[in-house]
Amino acid sequence: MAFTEPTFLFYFLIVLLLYWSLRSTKLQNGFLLLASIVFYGWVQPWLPVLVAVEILFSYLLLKQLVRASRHKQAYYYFCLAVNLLPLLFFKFGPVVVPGVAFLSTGSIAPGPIESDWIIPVGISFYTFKLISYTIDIAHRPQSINFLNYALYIAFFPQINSGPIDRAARLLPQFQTTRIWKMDYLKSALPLLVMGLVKKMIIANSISHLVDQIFQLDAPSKLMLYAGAAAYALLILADFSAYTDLSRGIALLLGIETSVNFKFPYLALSPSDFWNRWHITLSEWLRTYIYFPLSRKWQRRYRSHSSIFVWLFPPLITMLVSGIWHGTGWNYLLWGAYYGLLIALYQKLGLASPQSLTRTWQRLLAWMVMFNLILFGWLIFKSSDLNWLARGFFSAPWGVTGTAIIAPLSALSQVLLYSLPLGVKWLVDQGTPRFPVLQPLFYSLALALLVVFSSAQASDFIYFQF
Amino acid sequence: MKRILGFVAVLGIGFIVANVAVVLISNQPYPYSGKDTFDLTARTNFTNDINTLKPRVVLLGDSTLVDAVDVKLFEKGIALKTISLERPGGASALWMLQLKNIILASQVIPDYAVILFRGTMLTVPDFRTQGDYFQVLDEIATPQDQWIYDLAIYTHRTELERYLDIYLPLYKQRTGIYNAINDLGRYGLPSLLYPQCDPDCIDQANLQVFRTRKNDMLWDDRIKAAENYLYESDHLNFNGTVKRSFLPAMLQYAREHCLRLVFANFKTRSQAENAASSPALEAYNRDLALYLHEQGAAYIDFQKDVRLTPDFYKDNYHFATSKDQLFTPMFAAELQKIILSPQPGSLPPGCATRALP
Repeated sequence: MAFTEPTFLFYFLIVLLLYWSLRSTKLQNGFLLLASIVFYGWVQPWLPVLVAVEILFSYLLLKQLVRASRHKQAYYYFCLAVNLLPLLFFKFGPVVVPGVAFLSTGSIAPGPIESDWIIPVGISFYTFKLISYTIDIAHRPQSINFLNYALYIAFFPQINSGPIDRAARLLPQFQTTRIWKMDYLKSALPLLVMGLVKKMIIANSISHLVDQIFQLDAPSKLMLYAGAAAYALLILADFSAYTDLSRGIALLLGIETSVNFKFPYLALSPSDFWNRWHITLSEWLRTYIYFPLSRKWQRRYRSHSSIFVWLFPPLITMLVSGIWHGTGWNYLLWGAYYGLLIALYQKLGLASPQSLTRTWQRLLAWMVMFNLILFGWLIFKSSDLNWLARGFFSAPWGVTGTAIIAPLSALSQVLLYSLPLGVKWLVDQGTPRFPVLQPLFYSLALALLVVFSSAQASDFIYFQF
Repeated sequence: MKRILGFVAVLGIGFIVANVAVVLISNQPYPYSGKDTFDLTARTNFTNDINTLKPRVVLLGDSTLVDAVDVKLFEKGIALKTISLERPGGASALWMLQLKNIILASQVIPDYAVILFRGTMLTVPDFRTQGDYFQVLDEIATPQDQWIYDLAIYTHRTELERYLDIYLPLYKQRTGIYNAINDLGRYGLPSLLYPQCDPDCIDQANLQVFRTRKNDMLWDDRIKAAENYLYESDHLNFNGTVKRSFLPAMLQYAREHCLRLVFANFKTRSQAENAASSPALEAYNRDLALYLHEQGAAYIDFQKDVRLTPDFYKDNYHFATSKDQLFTPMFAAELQKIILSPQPGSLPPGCATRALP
């Protein structure tokens, strides 16, 4: 069930009415868990069973881990393995397990697994929640409430595509009884409208163009650039739309979840980009992979010039990020690309945007970073790396005669459909002085939604990761 | 609470102003008429080709016809002058309009109109009538075609949609606004930088680039999703849907003007791959064939034609390059059989000999 489907709207209205009629924490949490199970099992009823087994098994192991006076390490690693195995099985099973390889293309060639193999929706997201909770509990043992733990993992606004909130953010909110406040509506409304604008106006309008360009046999270099720009817009609009809707829905339930995007294409360096893009995933990777590796190797090598200190931590972290996104070489390469970029920027002392004080420096840094981001998306989106290499090395520039018209037309569409995001940024900047800008912007957004509502909703891209 | 009310009030006022602006710009009396229609004039004189070329056979169909039939070869095969009014995105509402406002409105009416269709296209009148498809219909239609509008569009609207059509200007004018925004996107930058290239020139440039695709099969999902509508269980009930379709009117118009209608049921790739098609579709095809026979129309059934193998197709509906050279002679031969043995009673007595070559 996608958030933009009418079925979800009806479902959510019923959930909302019943939820706010409950007056105790336990009942509210129990009902939210039930609503999450129904939501998650709407299309494939076996999915809640899978997640329930994972939660239950993980909970029992965590209890042992907290209680145990001996073999704590064993319980810890066993629990992590239990958390991780279903993800590895479903995501990489068809590729790496010889016994089931026949279900896939039989190789780890780039691109989606073209088979009947079903990867449970959101498994990458809730697995990372399971793991983070296991690590947190192992380091700071505390009593675990099964209901709250299960709700934290399966919370329906987040289960399909995040944000990957840490337990420390959600559990305290689950432990208190929520009482309806109009502020929830005031905060949720802009998120919901903006989420719909991003999905129904921007993403749905630009997705056809992206398909067209990425299915061209031999696009010119300019067309490749237009394709990268179009995909950059599409993936931002689509994914941040889901986050906005998820956050808006959670707010209507009295739960505040994390911001996941902060105008990522305004980033001045790769680290800055990952502080603005999919923020909860970045924080997860930083907390559980980058910092531990970095600390460990810094202690061991004590020299910043060692590649174990400056290169490997970001490289390994971003490789994990790449693998998290998918099984193709393109994702791995995309991860390596960002790992190298982050390391290189850090080595050159360019990682921190604060170090750039002059306007021209910031402008130059932005232009370089924006184009690096576009190149990254080309790697990410290309299911065939030969195709990308051909586009870069042997395709014509496509800037002469009528060849330039089609890429210009594509760029023109990208610019037009970027406008709502640009205007939103300006409105956010101007709101402190002119508060009326916000409701005016959202009234225009509502008007556009009426116009674009005839377009059919399609799936959110990030469901597949 | 006060801040929220203020927010909602400004939001509401802004939304109302946007609607008022649309009313003022559209220059139509408000509230709008609940029953819409096609605009006043057909924008092109589509009968020109028929009047000039005087074809004996006219082909109708959607993009499958474009890829499947080489008109020159077809003409040679049947030894009759043939033209094609193919239109990508066409379906029964468009074919009805083409029949009524182009073929039967021409000075010399052809002898045969051959419609290449698939699935339940003939009896699902609202298939491909919304959004951009409506613009295509509107090019050929006039307000006299109100009944076509009603059957294709109006009767399929819910009460809520009809209500919004009357009272919510943004909803009523959504197609126009949507197209204007899309056009701005598509033509904006090229028109600015290359003023000599008008929208037609930009469309041509786009067509030239996007004509070839790396993997046509990837388009399948998109097309299939749209085509699923044709295979919904309600639509597969031929006898339940035929009276509410354009098929009876097509047959009647054709009879009145001594035009022989020939319906060719196209085979899709998935049908070529699976020897057995769904029982519901088979029953539909049986009922359709029987109905057309009773009505005196000719029917060509490619559904069971074993010559159409999966390698003919580049996707589920369209033939691969050069396969038209194989299919066209088959199609022409089937039509030739019909031409040479006209069914008695299919046309009024005065028409009987006209249809012979």
